[in-house]
Parts: sequence; C-alpha cells; structure tokens
Amino acid sequence: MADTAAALDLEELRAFVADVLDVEEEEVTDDADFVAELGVDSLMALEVMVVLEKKYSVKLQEQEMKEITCLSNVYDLLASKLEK
Amino acid sequence: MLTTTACGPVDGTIEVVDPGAPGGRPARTRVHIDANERVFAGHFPGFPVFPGVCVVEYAHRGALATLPEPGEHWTLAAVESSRFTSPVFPGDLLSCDITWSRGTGPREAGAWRCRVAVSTGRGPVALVRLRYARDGGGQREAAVAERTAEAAPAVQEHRTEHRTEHRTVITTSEIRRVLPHRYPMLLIDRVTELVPGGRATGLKAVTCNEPWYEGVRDKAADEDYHYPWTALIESWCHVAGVLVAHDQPNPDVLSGQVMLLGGITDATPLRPAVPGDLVEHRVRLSRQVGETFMFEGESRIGDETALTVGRLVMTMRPAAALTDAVPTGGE
Repeated sequence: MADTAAALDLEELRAFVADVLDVEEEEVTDDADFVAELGVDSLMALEVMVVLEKKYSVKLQEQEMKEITCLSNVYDLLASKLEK
Repeated sequence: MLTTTACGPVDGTIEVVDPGAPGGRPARTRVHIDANERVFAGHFPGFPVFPGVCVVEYAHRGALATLPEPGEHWTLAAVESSRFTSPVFPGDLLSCDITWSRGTGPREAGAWRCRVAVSTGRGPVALVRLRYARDGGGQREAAVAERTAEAAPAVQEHRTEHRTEHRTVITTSEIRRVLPHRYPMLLIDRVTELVPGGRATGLKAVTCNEPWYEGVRDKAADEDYHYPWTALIESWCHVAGVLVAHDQPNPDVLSGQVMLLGGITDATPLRPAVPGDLVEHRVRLSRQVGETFMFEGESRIGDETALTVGRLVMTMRPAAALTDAVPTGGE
C-alpha cells in the first residue's frame, strides 16, 4: 500500500528479489549478475521493476531498468530514489 | 478425492514416472502432447502452439497425482508463479519435475506448495509454482478478504469509472479481427469497456456446452462442472489481448508481431465458475516497457470475486520468434 512503503534494508531486499526471481537467497549475492548468473530475461527484469516500485512506493523510469543488473545496483538505485 | 481426469483444456493423460519423496527427490510425470489435443485447432489455425495455460494445466495434474498427502480433497489455492521460456509443439513429450514443500506462511498452514520444472526434449519450457489447500475453506475466505482490501482503490475505480464514457461494445466479430485465437480457444464473448493504454472489461458466458465438458459423465458431481481455472485465466488474458492489440490487430500468427504469454504471478482462484455464470474480467495495464506489457486485475461473477490476477506479462515478438522455434525433421 502506498502509505506504508517499506524502508530500505539490504537483507530484506535480497530476500524479496530472490523470491521474485525464484532463486535461493544465497545465489543473490551483492554482485551476482542477474542476466548472466541468475538467468533473468527482459520480462523478469520488468517484473522486478514493477514489484520494487510497488513495495517501495517509488517510480522507476524505463531507462533505469538497465541499472537492475545486480543487487547492489538495485540497492543504490532505490536508495537514490528514496532520498528524494 | 483427486480429480486428475476432471474437465480441462487438455486431452492427454499424465503418467507418474516417479512418485518422488518429499524433502528428497522430486516427483516426475510426463505426458505426450498429441497433435489431436483439441486446443491446437484454435491455437492457432495453421500454426499449432500449445498454450501456456495448458502447460500449467498439465503441471497442475501432475501435482494432483503426486501430492504427498493424498486422500483428501485438495484444491488449487494459487498459481504462485509461472514463467514460460520456450514454446511447446505437437509431438513433444512434456516432462514435469515436481518438488514439494510445506506451506510456511501464516495463511498457508496445512497447505502444500510445489515447484514444477517443465521441459521437453529440447530443454526447459516453463517453471511453475502452485499451492494447494484442503477444500479452499478458511484460507480461501481469508484470501478473498485480503485481496479485496489490497486491491480496493484500483478495483473501486475500475468499477466506478466503468459506468462512464469508456463503455463500448466490441463484439465477437470484432474480437476475431483483433486476436488470432479461434474455437475452442477464443474464450471471450464481448468487451464492454476499453480505455486505450489503461484498462478493459470483458465478458465470458459459461455454458454446459463448453468443449471442456464434453467428456463429463452423467453421474458427475457439481464440482466436475467447475470451469477449468487455467481456461478462465486464458479467458482473462484475451481481454488483456484486446486491450493492447485493439489498435494494431493481427489475427494471423504467421506474420507481423505476435503476442506471447511470458508469465503469470499470484493468480488466485476464489469462486469457481459454473454453467450459467456470466464472468466479467477486469484487466488493468499496470506497466508497458517497449513491446512488453504487464497487467493485473480480477474476474467477477455478480458481486463475487472469482479470480484475482496479481501480475501477468505478455510480450509482442516477431512471428519468426515462434516459427523459427518449430523442431524440424518430424517427431
């Protein structure tokens, strides 16, 4: 729900992303490449983007989807959005 | 009671190759996708591709046949997710590796979940996660309440605004000019509301003459006439298809851009549809990036929510993406 946006926490984000991608949490290391190592395709990347938007009540632009390549990038992207 | 042979949009009979051991090795089932599967006639004329929802149907049947705790009346509580990575064609041998685990969430007490890796001789085709509960029961009611609360603003808006200027009537003949699907896989009768780039509402009338009921015996119980959930999801998808393809109709799958089902997440069956029901599908386009579309919505029967769809992804790809994938050299 929009008024109860989740606070950003790396471990929680890891669990959340692992769930969306249907992989084990251990596989989502900070730097594991979503495409090369976790088998994420463009459709899954869109899904990750949409669920992150909902969970953290942020709006991500289409070009920012390119930054969704590994967990630490996602964290930084969300952190920059949540500061504003 | 396990109704693995209940009505559905598939005709084959699955074979349990290995019943598996929960916590140990996965169960395995397989089924030959016969060229005579009736869905092929309409999905699509001249170019048979096995529908993604039918892959889910076989995964579901495999799950029912290998459920670690048989002897009770288990029902599908949710399609937690399904992702389609490669097409399935007539003649394929569809294998399902089914890994069972106990439900862990607060609402999943007593539930069983499974992860089904589906493959053909060419490799993986889909990954499906399903959840089962005994008779739906209290879990189902809790889910309805939660879903209703969760989706309230969008659903409410959809309902209120439906009464206004976006009302339309897109009839069967027009739907056939927009979608390539044909009998028995054209599962929408009329579109009643369409906001380009926004949302659409469509109707599906369920009758006892549905092709899926053909083999139902005279002694069958009322539950045997529950409209197959996989077919109901497909029907919902057809409204989504009209929403995005209505400006760029392409009833031919062999040319131009074709629409492929990429994935379904959190589809929750709530109230079964039966002959005589008029199902109203409500579809909202939640996001579009390039030629990829993500939808959400629900299906209603009168005042009741019959089905909720958390996320559904479709993508437009050149027809060659499909035609080039056809295996050569026969079966």
